[in-house]
Amino acid sequence: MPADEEPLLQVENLDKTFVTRRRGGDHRTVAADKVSLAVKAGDALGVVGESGSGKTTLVNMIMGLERPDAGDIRFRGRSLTARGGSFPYGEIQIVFQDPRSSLDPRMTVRSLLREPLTNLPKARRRELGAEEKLRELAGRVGLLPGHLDRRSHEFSGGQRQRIAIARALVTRPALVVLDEPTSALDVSIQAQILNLLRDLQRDYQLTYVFVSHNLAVVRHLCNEVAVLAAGQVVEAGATSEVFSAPRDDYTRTLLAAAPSLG
Amino acid sequence: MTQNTLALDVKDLSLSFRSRTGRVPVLRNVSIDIEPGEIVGLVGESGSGKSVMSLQVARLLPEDSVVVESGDVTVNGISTRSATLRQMTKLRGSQIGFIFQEPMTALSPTMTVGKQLALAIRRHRGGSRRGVREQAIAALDEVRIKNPDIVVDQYPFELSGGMRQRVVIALAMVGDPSLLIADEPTTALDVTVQDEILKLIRQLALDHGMSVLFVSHDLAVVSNLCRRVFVLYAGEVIERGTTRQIIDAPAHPYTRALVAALPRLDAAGDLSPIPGEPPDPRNVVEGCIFAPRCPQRFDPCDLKPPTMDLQRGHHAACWLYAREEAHDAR
Repeated sequence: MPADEEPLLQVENLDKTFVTRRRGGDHRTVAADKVSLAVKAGDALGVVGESGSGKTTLVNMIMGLERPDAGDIRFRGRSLTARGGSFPYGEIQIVFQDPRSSLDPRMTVRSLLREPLTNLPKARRRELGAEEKLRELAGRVGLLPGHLDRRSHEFSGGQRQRIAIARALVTRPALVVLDEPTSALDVSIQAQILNLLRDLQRDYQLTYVFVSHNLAVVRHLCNEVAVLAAGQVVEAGATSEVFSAPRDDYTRTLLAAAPSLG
Repeated sequence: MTQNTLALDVKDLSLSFRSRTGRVPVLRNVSIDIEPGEIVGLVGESGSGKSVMSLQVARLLPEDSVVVESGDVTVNGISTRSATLRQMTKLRGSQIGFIFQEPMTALSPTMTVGKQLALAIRRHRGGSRRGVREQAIAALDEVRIKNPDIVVDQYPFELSGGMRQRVVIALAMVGDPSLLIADEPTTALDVTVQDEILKLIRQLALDHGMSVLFVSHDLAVVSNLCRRVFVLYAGEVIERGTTRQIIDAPAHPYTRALVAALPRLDAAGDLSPIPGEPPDPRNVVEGCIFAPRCPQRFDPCDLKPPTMDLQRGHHAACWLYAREEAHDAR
Protein backbone atom coordinates (compact mmCIF):
# COMPACT_ATOMS: atom_id res chain seq x y z
CA MET A 1 0.00 0.00 0.00
CA PRO A 2 1.45 3.42 -0.89
CA ALA A 3 2.33 5.51 2.13
CA ASP A 4 -0.25 8.22 1.42
CA GLU A 5 -3.14 5.77 1.53
CA GLU A 6 -2.16 4.33 4.85
CA PRO A 7 -4.27 5.45 7.82
CA LEU A 8 -2.67 8.21 9.89
CA LEU A 9 -3.40 6.23 13.04
CA GLN A 10 -3.84 2.49 13.08
CA VAL A 11 -4.80 0.61 16.20
CA GLU A 12 -4.51 -3.15 15.86
CA ASN A 13 -5.76 -5.85 18.19
CA LEU A 14 -5.01 -3.96 21.38
CA ASP A 15 -5.39 -5.91 24.61
CA LYS A 16 -5.20 -4.46 28.08
CA THR A 17 -6.25 -6.11 31.33
CA PHE A 18 -5.98 -4.54 34.77
CA VAL A 19 -5.60 -6.84 37.73
CA THR A 20 -6.66 -5.74 41.22
CA ARG A 21 -5.69 -7.92 44.16
CA ARG A 22 -8.64 -8.86 46.31
CA ARG A 23 -9.48 -11.27 49.06
CA GLY A 24 -10.62 -14.51 47.49
CA GLY A 25 -8.75 -14.08 44.23
CA ASP A 26 -7.60 -11.35 41.90
CA HIS A 27 -10.12 -9.27 40.04
CA ARG A 28 -9.47 -8.81 36.34
CA THR A 29 -10.86 -5.89 34.36
CA VAL A 30 -10.61 -6.20 30.61
CA ALA A 31 -10.27 -2.61 29.38
CA ALA A 32 -9.31 -3.47 25.81
CA ASP A 33 -10.10 -6.71 24.02
CA LYS A 34 -8.77 -6.92 20.46
CA VAL A 35 -9.49 -3.24 19.81
CA SER A 36 -8.81 -2.25 16.20
CA LEU A 37 -9.40 1.17 14.65
CA ALA A 38 -8.15 2.99 11.58
CA VAL A 39 -8.18 6.76 11.37
CA LYS A 40 -7.45 8.27 7.96
CA ALA A 41 -5.89 11.72 7.68
CA GLY A 42 -8.67 14.32 7.81
CA ASP A 43 -11.12 12.01 9.59
CA ALA A 44 -12.88 12.77 12.81
CA LEU A 45 -13.43 9.46 14.55
CA GLY A 46 -15.90 9.48 17.42
CA VAL A 47 -15.30 6.89 20.13
CA VAL A 48 -18.48 6.42 22.14
CA GLY A 49 -19.20 4.22 25.10
CA GLU A 50 -20.33 4.34 28.70
CA SER A 51 -18.30 4.36 31.91
CA GLY A 52 -16.09 1.30 32.04
CA SER A 53 -16.23 0.68 28.30
CA GLY A 54 -12.49 1.29 27.94
CA LYS A 55 -12.54 4.75 26.34
CA THR A 56 -10.01 6.23 28.73
CA THR A 57 -7.65 3.27 28.54
CA LEU A 58 -7.70 3.53 24.75
CA VAL A 59 -6.86 7.24 24.95
CA ASN A 60 -4.07 6.56 27.41
CA MET A 61 -2.59 3.92 25.15
CA ILE A 62 -2.73 6.20 22.09
CA MET A 63 -1.04 8.95 24.09
CA GLY A 64 1.69 6.56 25.24
CA LEU A 65 0.62 6.84 28.89
CA GLU A 66 -0.29 3.18 29.15
CA ARG A 67 1.34 0.15 27.48
CA PRO A 68 -0.94 -2.38 25.83
CA ASP A 69 -0.51 -6.04 26.83
CA ALA A 70 -0.66 -7.00 23.18
CA GLY A 71 -1.33 -5.41 19.82
CA ASP A 72 0.14 -2.42 18.05
CA ILE A 73 -0.50 1.28 17.54
CA ARG A 74 0.99 2.76 14.39
CA PHE A 75 1.21 6.46 13.59
CA ARG A 76 2.23 7.34 10.02
CA GLY A 77 3.10 3.67 9.68
CA ARG A 78 5.57 3.71 12.59
CA SER A 79 4.89 1.62 15.65
CA LEU A 80 4.38 3.57 18.88
CA THR A 81 4.49 0.48 21.03
CA ALA A 82 7.76 -1.03 19.81
CA ARG A 83 10.56 -1.05 22.37
CA GLY A 84 13.11 1.67 21.86
CA GLY A 85 10.69 3.72 19.80
CA SER A 86 10.06 7.31 20.82
CA PHE A 87 6.72 9.07 21.05
CA PRO A 88 6.19 11.62 18.26
CA TYR A 89 5.95 14.63 20.59
CA GLY A 90 4.02 17.48 19.14
CA GLU A 91 2.49 15.41 16.37
CA ILE A 92 -0.16 13.87 18.61
CA GLN A 93 -1.80 16.22 21.10
CA ILE A 94 -4.67 15.94 23.56
CA VAL A 95 -7.44 18.16 24.94
CA PHE A 96 -8.95 17.00 28.23
CA GLN A 97 -12.47 17.29 29.59
CA ASP A 98 -11.98 19.81 32.34
CA PRO A 99 -9.76 22.83 31.64
CA ARG A 100 -9.97 23.73 35.33
CA SER A 101 -7.73 20.78 36.14
CA SER A 102 -5.73 20.56 32.89
CA LEU A 103 -4.43 24.15 33.04
CA ASP A 104 -2.15 25.46 35.79
CA PRO A 105 -4.09 28.44 37.22
CA ARG A 106 -0.87 30.28 38.12
CA MET A 107 0.60 30.28 34.63
CA THR A 108 -0.10 33.01 32.12
CA VAL A 109 -1.75 31.99 28.87
CA ARG A 110 1.53 32.77 27.09
CA SER A 111 3.52 30.32 29.20
CA LEU A 112 0.73 27.73 28.99
CA LEU A 113 0.93 27.94 25.20
CA ARG A 114 4.74 27.70 25.16
CA GLU A 115 4.97 24.77 27.56
CA PRO A 116 4.15 21.99 25.03
CA LEU A 117 7.03 23.23 22.86
CA THR A 118 9.60 22.26 25.50
CA ASN A 119 10.26 18.84 23.98
CA LEU A 120 10.73 20.12 20.43
CA PRO A 121 14.09 20.91 18.79
CA LYS A 122 15.32 24.40 19.59
CA ALA A 123 14.81 25.93 16.14
CA ARG A 124 11.26 24.61 15.95
CA ARG A 125 10.60 25.81 19.49
CA ARG A 126 11.77 29.34 18.60
CA GLU A 127 9.70 29.38 15.43
CA LEU A 128 6.43 28.16 16.94
CA GLY A 129 6.82 30.02 20.22
CA ALA A 130 7.40 33.41 18.58
CA GLU A 131 5.10 36.12 19.90
CA GLU A 132 3.34 36.74 16.58
CA LYS A 133 2.69 32.99 16.15
CA LEU A 134 1.11 32.83 19.61
CA ARG A 135 -1.02 35.91 18.91
CA GLU A 136 -2.18 34.41 15.63
CA LEU A 137 -3.09 31.11 17.30
CA ALA A 138 -4.87 32.88 20.16
CA GLY A 139 -6.89 34.78 17.57
CA ARG A 140 -7.78 31.57 15.74
CA VAL A 141 -9.32 30.04 18.87
CA GLY A 142 -11.21 33.22 19.73
CA LEU A 143 -8.93 34.78 22.34
CA LEU A 144 -7.68 38.37 22.27
CA PRO A 145 -3.97 39.31 22.15
CA GLY A 146 -4.31 40.89 25.62
CA HIS A 147 -5.41 37.53 27.01
CA LEU A 148 -1.86 36.15 26.65
CA ASP A 149 -0.75 38.05 29.76
CA ARG A 150 -3.62 36.83 31.92
CA ARG A 151 -3.74 33.70 34.06
CA SER A 152 -6.10 30.85 33.26
CA HIS A 153 -8.08 31.18 36.50
CA GLU A 154 -9.33 34.55 35.29
CA PHE A 155 -11.22 32.92 32.43
CA SER A 156 -14.63 31.28 32.15
CA GLY A 157 -14.94 27.54 31.44
CA GLY A 158 -15.51 28.07 27.72
CA GLN A 159 -12.53 30.40 27.37
CA ARG A 160 -10.33 28.01 29.32
CA GLN A 161 -11.23 25.26 26.89
CA ARG A 162 -10.20 27.62 24.05
CA ILE A 163 -6.83 28.00 25.80
CA ALA A 164 -6.53 24.20 26.14
CA ILE A 165 -7.27 23.81 22.42
CA ALA A 166 -4.67 26.45 21.49
CA ARG A 167 -2.19 24.66 23.76
CA ALA A 168 -2.80 21.44 21.83
CA LEU A 169 -2.45 23.15 18.46
CA VAL A 170 0.68 25.15 19.24
CA THR A 171 2.96 22.28 18.17
CA ARG A 172 1.05 22.00 14.85
CA PRO A 173 -0.05 18.39 15.43
CA ALA A 174 -1.49 16.09 12.78
CA LEU A 175 -3.67 14.21 15.26
CA VAL A 176 -5.63 15.66 18.18
CA VAL A 177 -7.27 13.41 20.75
CA LEU A 178 -10.27 15.17 22.28
CA ASP A 179 -11.36 13.51 25.52
CA GLU A 180 -14.91 14.75 26.31
CA PRO A 181 -13.85 18.34 25.56
CA THR A 182 -17.34 19.85 25.94
CA SER A 183 -18.83 17.70 28.71
CA ALA A 184 -18.11 20.28 31.41
CA LEU A 185 -19.57 23.16 29.38
CA ASP A 186 -23.02 24.66 29.09
CA VAL A 187 -25.03 23.98 25.95
CA SER A 188 -24.62 27.48 24.52
CA ILE A 189 -20.86 27.40 25.11
CA GLN A 190 -20.60 23.78 23.90
CA ALA A 191 -21.99 24.86 20.53
CA GLN A 192 -19.31 27.57 20.27
CA ILE A 193 -16.54 25.06 21.00
CA LEU A 194 -17.93 22.40 18.62
CA ASN A 195 -18.13 24.89 15.78
CA LEU A 196 -14.61 26.08 16.63
CA LEU A 197 -13.28 22.50 16.52
CA ARG A 198 -14.92 22.03 13.15
CA ASP A 199 -13.36 25.21 11.74
CA LEU A 200 -9.93 24.35 13.14
CA GLN A 201 -10.07 20.87 11.67
CA ARG A 202 -10.62 22.38 8.24
CA ASP A 203 -8.11 25.22 8.55
CA TYR A 204 -5.26 23.18 10.03
CA GLN A 205 -6.07 19.87 8.24
CA LEU A 206 -6.41 18.10 11.56
CA THR A 207 -7.39 14.52 12.28
CA TYR A 208 -9.49 13.98 15.39
CA VAL A 209 -10.11 11.11 17.75
CA PHE A 210 -13.11 12.43 19.68
CA VAL A 211 -14.04 10.51 22.82
CA SER A 212 -17.51 11.16 24.20
CA HIS A 213 -20.52 9.68 25.88
CA ASN A 214 -22.71 12.26 24.13
CA LEU A 215 -23.99 10.73 20.90
CA ALA A 216 -25.51 13.96 19.59
CA VAL A 217 -22.18 15.73 19.91
CA VAL A 218 -20.42 12.90 18.05
CA ARG A 219 -23.09 13.02 15.35
CA HIS A 220 -22.33 16.68 14.91
CA LEU A 221 -18.55 16.55 14.72
CA CYS A 222 -17.48 13.09 13.53
CA ASN A 223 -17.70 11.45 10.12
CA GLU A 224 -16.71 8.06 11.55
CA VAL A 225 -17.74 6.43 14.80
CA ALA A 226 -16.70 3.41 16.86
CA VAL A 227 -18.89 2.10 19.67
CA LEU A 228 -17.05 0.59 22.64
CA ALA A 229 -18.57 -1.74 25.20
CA ALA A 230 -16.67 -3.71 27.83
CA GLY A 231 -13.36 -3.14 26.04
CA GLN A 232 -14.58 -4.24 22.62
CA VAL A 233 -15.46 -2.34 19.47
CA VAL A 234 -19.01 -3.59 18.95
CA GLU A 235 -19.73 -1.48 15.89
CA ALA A 236 -17.81 0.95 13.67
CA GLY A 237 -18.50 2.82 10.47
CA ALA A 238 -19.70 6.08 8.96
CA THR A 239 -21.54 8.08 11.63
CA SER A 240 -24.60 8.74 9.48
CA GLU A 241 -24.98 5.02 8.73
CA VAL A 242 -24.33 3.75 12.25
CA PHE A 243 -26.78 6.27 13.71
CA SER A 244 -29.55 5.73 11.18
CA ALA A 245 -29.21 1.95 10.89
CA PRO A 246 -27.34 0.53 13.89
CA ARG A 247 -26.57 -3.16 13.49
CA ASP A 248 -25.45 -3.99 17.00
CA ASP A 249 -27.91 -4.40 19.89
CA TYR A 250 -25.82 -2.32 22.25
CA THR A 251 -25.61 0.57 19.76
CA ARG A 252 -29.39 0.40 19.45
CA THR A 253 -29.81 0.54 23.24
CA LEU A 254 -27.45 3.48 23.45
CA LEU A 255 -29.25 5.42 20.73
CA ALA A 256 -32.66 4.67 22.24
CA ALA A 257 -31.54 5.88 25.68
CA ALA A 258 -30.04 9.14 24.40
CA PRO A 259 -32.32 12.02 25.33
CA SER A 260 -33.65 13.94 22.36
CA LEU A 261 -35.95 16.88 21.88
CA GLY A 262 -38.30 14.52 20.02
CA MET B 1 -56.03 28.42 38.44
CA THR B 2 -57.41 25.34 40.14
CA GLN B 3 -58.96 25.08 43.58
CA ASN B 4 -56.21 22.74 44.75
CA THR B 5 -53.40 23.96 46.93
CA LEU B 6 -50.31 24.13 44.79
CA ALA B 7 -47.54 21.65 45.64
CA LEU B 8 -45.04 24.45 45.11
CA ASP B 9 -45.83 28.11 44.78
CA VAL B 10 -42.85 30.42 44.33
CA LYS B 11 -44.23 33.94 44.15
CA ASP B 12 -42.18 36.87 42.98
CA LEU B 13 -39.05 35.65 44.74
CA SER B 14 -36.04 37.96 44.72
CA LEU B 15 -32.98 36.77 46.54
CA SER B 16 -29.49 38.18 47.03
CA PHE B 17 -26.23 36.96 48.48
CA ARG B 18 -24.33 39.14 50.91
CA SER B 19 -20.78 39.89 49.85
CA ARG B 20 -18.05 42.25 50.96
CA THR B 21 -18.94 44.59 48.13
CA GLY B 22 -22.66 44.59 48.83
CA ARG B 23 -25.65 42.51 47.89
CA VAL B 24 -25.43 40.38 44.75
CA PRO B 25 -28.84 39.66 43.24
CA VAL B 26 -29.15 35.98 42.28
CA LEU B 27 -32.88 35.59 41.65
CA ARG B 28 -35.15 38.38 40.45
CA ASN B 29 -38.94 38.14 40.66
CA VAL B 30 -39.04 34.40 40.08
CA SER B 31 -42.48 32.77 40.07
CA ILE B 32 -42.92 29.00 39.69
CA ASP B 33 -46.08 27.01 40.30
CA ILE B 34 -46.43 23.22 40.43
CA GLU B 35 -49.75 21.42 40.67
CA PRO B 36 -50.07 18.31 42.83
CA GLY B 37 -48.67 15.31 40.95
CA GLU B 38 -47.13 17.43 38.23
CA ILE B 39 -43.54 17.07 36.92
CA VAL B 40 -42.08 20.46 36.09
CA GLY B 41 -38.68 21.28 34.65
CA LEU B 42 -36.47 24.20 35.61
CA VAL B 43 -33.90 24.70 32.86
CA GLY B 44 -30.93 26.99 32.98
CA GLU B 45 -27.21 27.16 32.35
CA SER B 46 -24.43 27.50 34.93
CA GLY B 47 -24.98 30.56 37.06
CA SER B 48 -28.62 30.96 36.08
CA GLY B 49 -29.66 30.48 39.71
CA LYS B 50 -31.44 27.16 39.23
CA SER B 51 -29.68 25.41 42.11
CA VAL B 52 -30.12 28.42 44.40
CA MET B 53 -33.82 28.34 43.54
CA SER B 54 -34.15 24.63 44.33
CA LEU B 55 -32.20 24.91 47.60
CA GLN B 56 -34.28 27.87 48.74
CA VAL B 57 -37.46 25.78 48.46
CA ALA B 58 -36.27 23.87 51.53
CA ARG B 59 -34.36 26.92 52.87
CA LEU B 60 -31.12 24.97 52.66
CA LEU B 61 -28.98 28.01 51.84
CA PRO B 62 -26.86 29.43 54.68
CA GLU B 63 -29.28 31.89 56.27
CA ASP B 64 -26.70 34.48 57.23
CA SER B 65 -25.48 34.94 53.66
CA VAL B 66 -28.86 35.07 51.95
CA VAL B 67 -31.30 37.97 51.82
CA VAL B 68 -34.85 37.37 50.62
CA GLU B 69 -35.62 40.75 49.10
CA SER B 70 -39.22 39.97 48.21
CA GLY B 71 -41.65 37.17 47.64
CA ASP B 72 -42.25 33.81 49.25
CA VAL B 73 -41.93 30.08 48.65
CA THR B 74 -45.00 28.11 49.67
CA VAL B 75 -44.96 24.31 49.82
CA ASN B 76 -48.37 22.68 50.09
CA GLY B 77 -49.80 25.91 51.46
CA ILE B 78 -47.06 26.32 54.08
CA SER B 79 -45.01 29.48 53.79
CA THR B 80 -41.31 28.73 54.16
CA ARG B 81 -40.44 32.39 54.61
CA SER B 82 -42.28 32.74 57.91
CA ALA B 83 -41.67 29.16 59.11
CA THR B 84 -39.52 28.69 62.21
CA LEU B 85 -36.44 26.52 62.02
CA ARG B 86 -38.32 23.75 63.83
CA GLN B 87 -41.16 23.91 61.31
CA MET B 88 -38.65 23.87 58.44
CA THR B 89 -36.94 20.79 59.85
CA LYS B 90 -40.28 19.04 59.91
CA LEU B 91 -41.06 20.14 56.37
CA ARG B 92 -37.79 18.78 55.02
CA GLY B 93 -38.11 15.11 54.28
CA SER B 94 -41.80 14.84 55.10
CA GLN B 95 -43.06 17.38 52.54
CA ILE B 96 -39.93 18.07 50.50
CA GLY B 97 -37.60 15.33 49.28
CA PHE B 98 -34.24 16.13 47.73
CA ILE B 99 -31.96 14.33 45.28
CA PHE B 100 -28.72 15.80 43.99
CA GLN B 101 -26.32 15.36 41.10
CA GLU B 102 -23.59 13.44 42.87
CA PRO B 103 -25.08 10.59 44.92
CA MET B 104 -21.78 9.84 46.67
CA THR B 105 -21.82 13.23 48.39
CA ALA B 106 -25.40 12.69 49.53
CA LEU B 107 -24.55 9.37 51.17
CA SER B 108 -22.34 8.66 54.14
CA PRO B 109 -19.36 6.55 53.04
CA THR B 110 -18.99 4.99 56.49
CA MET B 111 -22.50 3.59 56.94
CA THR B 112 -24.23 0.72 55.20
CA VAL B 113 -27.18 1.54 52.96
CA GLY B 114 -29.49 -0.10 55.50
CA LYS B 115 -28.21 1.97 58.40
CA GLN B 116 -28.69 5.22 56.48
CA LEU B 117 -32.21 4.22 55.51
CA ALA B 118 -32.91 3.19 59.12
CA LEU B 119 -31.98 6.67 60.37
CA ALA B 120 -34.46 8.23 57.97
CA ILE B 121 -37.16 5.64 58.66
CA ARG B 122 -37.00 6.08 62.46
CA ARG B 123 -36.93 9.85 62.02
CA HIS B 124 -40.02 9.94 59.84
CA ARG B 125 -42.00 6.87 60.84
CA GLY B 126 -40.74 5.89 64.29
CA GLY B 127 -41.11 2.16 64.95
CA SER B 128 -39.09 -0.68 66.34
CA ARG B 129 -35.57 -1.62 65.32
CA ARG B 130 -36.72 -4.95 63.99
CA GLY B 131 -39.35 -3.60 61.63
CA VAL B 132 -36.93 -0.99 60.35
CA ARG B 133 -34.76 -3.45 58.45
CA GLU B 134 -37.80 -4.85 56.63
CA GLN B 135 -38.89 -1.31 55.79
CA ALA B 136 -35.39 -0.49 54.46
CA ILE B 137 -35.48 -3.54 52.19
CA ALA B 138 -38.95 -2.58 50.99
CA ALA B 139 -37.71 0.98 50.29
CA LEU B 140 -34.87 -0.41 48.13
CA ASP B 141 -37.30 -2.70 46.38
CA GLU B 142 -39.51 0.24 45.51
CA VAL B 143 -36.68 1.98 43.66
CA ARG B 144 -36.20 -1.26 41.65
CA ILE B 145 -32.94 -2.34 43.26
CA LYS B 146 -32.38 -6.03 42.57
CA ASN B 147 -31.46 -8.17 45.59
CA PRO B 148 -32.42 -5.47 48.15
CA ASP B 149 -31.71 -7.91 50.99
CA ILE B 150 -28.04 -7.96 49.92
CA VAL B 151 -27.70 -4.28 49.01
CA VAL B 152 -29.11 -3.25 52.40
CA ASP B 153 -25.88 -4.48 54.05
CA GLN B 154 -23.54 -2.93 51.48
CA TYR B 155 -21.63 0.35 51.65
CA PRO B 156 -22.11 3.04 48.98
CA PHE B 157 -18.61 2.45 47.56
CA GLU B 158 -19.63 -1.09 46.65
CA LEU B 159 -22.42 0.21 44.39
CA SER B 160 -22.42 1.65 40.88
CA GLY B 161 -23.36 5.29 40.26
CA GLY B 162 -26.85 4.36 39.13
CA MET B 163 -27.42 2.15 42.20
CA ARG B 164 -26.22 4.92 44.50
CA GLN B 165 -28.66 7.35 42.93
CA ARG B 166 -31.43 4.79 43.49
CA VAL B 167 -30.43 4.60 47.16
CA VAL B 168 -30.56 8.41 47.42
CA ILE B 169 -34.03 8.33 45.84
CA ALA B 170 -35.09 5.63 48.31
CA LEU B 171 -33.88 7.88 51.16
CA ALA B 172 -35.80 10.84 49.76
CA MET B 173 -38.96 8.73 49.49
CA VAL B 174 -38.89 7.53 53.12
CA GLY B 175 -40.82 10.56 54.38
CA ASP B 176 -43.36 10.19 51.55
CA PRO B 177 -42.80 13.78 50.36
CA SER B 178 -45.42 15.60 48.35
CA LEU B 179 -42.70 17.43 46.43
CA LEU B 180 -39.44 15.97 45.13
CA ILE B 181 -36.68 18.39 44.19
CA ALA B 182 -34.30 16.70 41.76
CA ASP B 183 -31.24 18.85 41.05
CA GLU B 184 -29.42 17.42 37.99
CA PRO B 185 -29.90 13.87 39.34
CA THR B 186 -28.73 12.16 36.14
CA THR B 187 -25.93 14.45 34.97
CA ALA B 188 -23.15 12.24 36.35
CA LEU B 189 -24.68 9.05 34.93
CA ASP B 190 -24.37 7.16 31.65
CA VAL B 191 -27.21 7.58 29.17
CA THR B 192 -28.67 4.11 29.64
CA VAL B 193 -28.63 4.54 33.44
CA GLN B 194 -30.01 8.06 33.08
CA ASP B 195 -32.90 6.65 31.10
CA GLU B 196 -33.70 4.15 33.89
CA ILE B 197 -33.53 6.80 36.63
CA LEU B 198 -35.84 9.14 34.68
CA LYS B 199 -38.35 6.31 34.26
CA LEU B 200 -38.10 5.57 37.99
CA ILE B 201 -38.78 9.20 38.93
CA ARG B 202 -41.79 9.28 36.60
CA GLN B 203 -43.14 6.04 38.09
CA LEU B 204 -42.69 7.19 41.70
CA ALA B 205 -44.43 10.49 40.94
CA LEU B 206 -47.33 8.55 39.46
CA ASP B 207 -47.57 5.97 42.27
CA HIS B 208 -47.40 8.54 45.07
CA GLY B 209 -49.16 11.47 43.44
CA MET B 210 -45.89 13.31 44.09
CA SER B 211 -44.90 16.54 42.39
CA VAL B 212 -41.39 16.93 40.99
CA LEU B 213 -39.27 20.00 40.35
CA PHE B 214 -36.65 18.67 37.94
CA VAL B 215 -33.70 21.03 37.70
CA SER B 216 -31.37 20.57 34.73
CA HIS B 217 -29.16 22.25 32.18
CA ASP B 218 -30.27 19.68 29.61
CA LEU B 219 -33.35 20.69 27.65
CA ALA B 220 -33.49 17.27 25.98
CA VAL B 221 -33.66 15.41 29.31
CA VAL B 222 -36.26 17.83 30.64
CA SER B 223 -38.39 17.50 27.52
CA ASN B 224 -38.52 13.71 27.94
CA LEU B 225 -39.73 13.92 31.55
CA CYS B 226 -41.62 17.13 32.21
CA ARG B 227 -45.07 18.38 31.34
CA ARG B 228 -44.18 22.02 31.78
CA VAL B 229 -40.87 23.91 31.69
CA PHE B 230 -39.58 27.12 33.24
CA VAL B 231 -36.54 28.64 31.53
CA LEU B 232 -34.23 30.53 33.86
CA TYR B 233 -31.62 32.95 32.55
CA ALA B 234 -29.35 35.02 34.82
CA GLY B 235 -31.77 34.75 37.72
CA GLU B 236 -34.99 35.49 35.83
CA VAL B 237 -37.70 33.25 34.42
CA ILE B 238 -37.69 34.46 30.82
CA GLU B 239 -40.14 31.90 29.45
CA ARG B 240 -42.52 29.26 30.69
CA GLY B 241 -44.96 26.91 29.02
CA THR B 242 -45.75 23.31 28.27
CA THR B 243 -42.80 21.25 27.08
CA ARG B 244 -44.26 21.15 23.59
CA GLN B 245 -44.69 24.92 23.48
CA ILE B 246 -41.12 25.46 24.66
CA ILE B 247 -39.53 22.91 22.29
CA ASP B 248 -41.71 23.32 19.20
CA ALA B 249 -42.38 27.04 19.40
CA PRO B 250 -39.86 28.70 21.70
CA ALA B 251 -40.72 32.39 21.90
CA HIS B 252 -37.96 34.13 23.82
CA PRO B 253 -34.80 34.67 21.74
CA TYR B 254 -32.76 32.98 24.49
CA THR B 255 -34.90 29.83 24.48
CA ARG B 256 -34.83 29.80 20.69
CA ALA B 257 -31.04 30.09 20.73
CA LEU B 258 -30.79 27.36 23.37
CA VAL B 259 -32.83 24.96 21.23
CA ALA B 260 -30.74 25.84 18.15
CA ALA B 261 -27.47 25.33 20.05
CA LEU B 262 -28.36 21.77 21.05
CA PRO B 263 -26.63 19.09 18.96
CA ARG B 264 -29.22 16.63 17.65
CA LEU B 265 -29.03 12.95 16.87
CA ASP B 266 -30.93 13.33 13.63
CA ALA B 267 -28.92 16.09 11.97
CA ALA B 268 -25.27 16.95 11.57
CA GLY B 269 -25.59 20.57 10.39
CA ASP B 270 -23.81 23.57 11.85
CA LEU B 271 -24.88 24.58 15.33
CA SER B 272 -25.91 28.13 16.12
CA PRO B 273 -24.05 29.07 19.28
CA ILE B 274 -25.19 31.95 21.45
CA PRO B 275 -22.52 34.63 21.20
CA GLY B 276 -20.94 35.90 24.40
CA GLU B 277 -21.52 34.61 27.91
CA PRO B 278 -24.16 35.11 30.60
CA PRO B 279 -23.81 38.35 32.59
CA ASP B 280 -21.86 38.65 35.81
CA PRO B 281 -24.50 38.85 38.56
CA ARG B 282 -22.55 41.70 40.22
CA ASN B 283 -22.84 43.73 37.09
CA VAL B 284 -26.25 43.16 35.55
CA VAL B 285 -27.62 45.48 32.89
CA GLU B 286 -30.77 47.52 33.32
CA GLY B 287 -33.63 46.45 31.10
CA CYS B 288 -33.79 43.06 29.42
CA ILE B 289 -31.28 40.66 30.93
CA PHE B 290 -30.59 38.91 27.59
CA ALA B 291 -30.32 42.07 25.48
CA PRO B 292 -26.48 42.14 25.34
CA ARG B 293 -26.46 38.72 23.58
CA CYS B 294 -29.75 39.03 21.73
CA PRO B 295 -29.78 39.01 17.91
CA GLN B 296 -33.20 40.70 17.86
CA ARG B 297 -32.44 43.51 20.25
CA PHE B 298 -34.25 46.78 19.53
CA ASP B 299 -34.79 50.10 21.30
CA PRO B 300 -37.29 49.10 24.02
CA CYS B 301 -34.90 46.43 25.34
CA ASP B 302 -33.23 49.08 27.53
CA LEU B 303 -36.31 48.75 29.72
CA LYS B 304 -37.43 45.68 31.63
CA PRO B 305 -39.77 43.68 29.34
CA PRO B 306 -43.23 42.70 30.61
CA THR B 307 -44.13 39.01 30.77
CA MET B 308 -46.59 38.44 27.94
CA ASP B 309 -49.25 35.75 27.73
CA LEU B 310 -48.73 34.24 24.27
CA GLN B 311 -50.99 31.22 24.41
CA ARG B 312 -52.70 29.26 27.12
CA GLY B 313 -49.96 28.78 29.71
CA HIS B 314 -47.17 30.01 27.43
CA HIS B 315 -45.48 33.16 28.69
CA ALA B 316 -42.35 35.01 27.62
CA ALA B 317 -40.69 38.12 29.02
CA CYS B 318 -39.75 39.84 25.78
CA TRP B 319 -40.57 43.12 24.05
CA LEU B 320 -41.05 41.31 20.72
CA TYR B 321 -44.44 40.22 22.00
CA ALA B 322 -45.31 43.54 23.55
CA ARG B 323 -44.89 45.91 20.64
CA GLU B 324 -47.83 48.07 21.67
CA GLU B 325 -46.54 48.38 25.21
CA ALA B 326 -43.09 49.02 23.79
CA HIS B 327 -44.53 51.89 21.81
CA ASP B 328 -46.25 53.31 24.89
CA ALA B 329 -43.12 52.95 26.99
CA ARG B 330 -41.16 55.18 24.67
